[in-house]
Amino acid sequence: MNNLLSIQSFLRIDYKILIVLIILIFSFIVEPRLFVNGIFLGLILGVGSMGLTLSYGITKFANIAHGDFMTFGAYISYFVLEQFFPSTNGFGPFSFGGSLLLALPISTVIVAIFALISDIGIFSRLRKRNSPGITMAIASLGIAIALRGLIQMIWSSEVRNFPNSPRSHIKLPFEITIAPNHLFIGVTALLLMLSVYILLNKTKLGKAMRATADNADLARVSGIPSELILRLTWILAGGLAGIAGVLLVIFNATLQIKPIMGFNFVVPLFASTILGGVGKPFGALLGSLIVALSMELSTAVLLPTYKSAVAFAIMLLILLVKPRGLTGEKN
Amino acid sequence: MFDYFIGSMLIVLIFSVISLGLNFQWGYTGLFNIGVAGFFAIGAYTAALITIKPALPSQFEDYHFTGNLQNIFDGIPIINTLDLWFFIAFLAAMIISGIIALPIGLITLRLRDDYLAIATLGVGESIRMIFLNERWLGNGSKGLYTIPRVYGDIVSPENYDFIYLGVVVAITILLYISAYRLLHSPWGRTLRAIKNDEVAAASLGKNIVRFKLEAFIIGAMIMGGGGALFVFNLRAISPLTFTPLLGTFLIWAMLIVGGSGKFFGPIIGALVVWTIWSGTQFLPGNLSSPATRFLMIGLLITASIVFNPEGIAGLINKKIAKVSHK
Repeated sequence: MNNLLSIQSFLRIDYKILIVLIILIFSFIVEPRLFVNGIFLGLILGVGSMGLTLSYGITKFANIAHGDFMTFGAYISYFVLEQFFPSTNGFGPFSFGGSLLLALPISTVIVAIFALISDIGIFSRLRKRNSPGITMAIASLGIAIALRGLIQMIWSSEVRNFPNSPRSHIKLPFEITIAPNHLFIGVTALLLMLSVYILLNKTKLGKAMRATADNADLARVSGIPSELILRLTWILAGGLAGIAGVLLVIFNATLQIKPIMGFNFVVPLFASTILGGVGKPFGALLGSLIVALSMELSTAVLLPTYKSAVAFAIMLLILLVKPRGLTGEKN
Repeated sequence: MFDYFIGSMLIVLIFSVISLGLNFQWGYTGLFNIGVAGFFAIGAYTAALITIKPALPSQFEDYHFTGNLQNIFDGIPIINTLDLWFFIAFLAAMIISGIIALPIGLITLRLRDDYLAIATLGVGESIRMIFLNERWLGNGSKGLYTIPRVYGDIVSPENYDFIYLGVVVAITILLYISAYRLLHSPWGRTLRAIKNDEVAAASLGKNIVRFKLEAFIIGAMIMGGGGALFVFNLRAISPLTFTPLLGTFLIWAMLIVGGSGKFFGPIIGALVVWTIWSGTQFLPGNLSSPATRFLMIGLLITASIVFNPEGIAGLINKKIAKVSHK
């Protein structure tokens, strides 16, 4: 009986994977360009939503400022590049200069520090007062608006560009072309995901983080210093958001940057987080790929401005049929 | 100067109506709606679409959708002079807003609190995108502008703001009285019980999700009504009005600063925040740019949550309580 059940459940999963595979292959054949774009956008979204899902799972509230953390990271890089390396030729096959390799870690660190400061200054105060998560979410909304205002005050609301030089696409068989920048995004995103995996599964700190995400009270009585874990979560989430912001800029060959870019990403970020199950970084990655692919493929039939509406529709659908996410267990 | 004052009063009152809707959702029930702009826009576009006159040929515009309700009523004697079309547009705005709120509430209210927030954020943005992109419906970024004047036959256009202020004051008072009655009914008490202790309220046999859904829909309806009032004030709307900053965050700042869950919170907040908001345009140099407003609204929300969660109305209540104790 037991055996039979397991075979049945195996078959059921297999059949779902089959459907997903068929959809993937079909969309790849019909729209290879959008498909490739979707994969790389999904990796960027994945970096962002891994941070979001960790902070959502551990701090127990939806940080609406996460998108604007991304914008902030992008503008820090813009500042570094514009101030110190205004005239750079493209670096190898990439349309950005080699100086980006210096700007990227600076963005990461500064956004991580900013996230830490907002926790110390605002969220930890609210925690001490036992505020419900939703009050903290409103405070994060305030941070999101203020941060965007600050960015607009310093850099104006116009579209700007990182220093760049044009590069041609790499040609692959079957008429597939890949922008060199996308390869950089892919490698960076995969390295980050690998490090997050090692951090969460192979280190004591990561285990403590996962324990806090699962059950904060239980973790505390087991001697895990929850305040410290929360601070570290903010640092990690902020850092990942900062990198994701920079990657989002180089996704576009002309390296455009504008203050609203991160906020426009908030709905897709939450869609992938919920799709993957809150608190599950690798679920979020899966969710990101699904959301980004759907967003890109939708442009074949819909106006591109409806991309975030597509992400929103996916989110509503998943809330309707499987509110705990694709990887979530039954209620 | 006097015109400026009348204009400001109109805006403050209209925003206080929208904040009243948010007070139903957040203040009394604890529902986190960050798509206020969406319901605001739905109300505004509904009211505009069913009343607009066809565009003049000289304007090179083609709205495919012109309700022209005023024209339909023109022949009927009493209805004609009472400008009943305005009230029909107002009610329609409320109803359509409520209808949009229903599925969102049904899907998200039985789940975690913050899923509603994320879903409403998506609604707000999607609705704005629809009116921006579907030119046949909302005329794209140019928006709709052949909107008739309420009681335009009775008063001259120069005095329009004045007569319309009277209409808005009357409707605002009516809405606040209805809200008061509703909140002090058994239904309203149940809402507060749910906000204070959901588990206890549920153990008394209250259907939590249903009460939340009702509060969410009523709030959305009031926001839609506010949108309708907004339309006949400026008599021109475009999707630019319903950006998250103006349509959602400003309303949030008003409610939080004024005092959420306090009866006069929305109106106090609307007055205070609008004064600060419109005051920034007199700041020197770069500080008068919209970026300053963003920063200010964000800081106001966060600072109020951290330092004065009860809002200004809460402070006043405490003062009154102190005085009456002496």
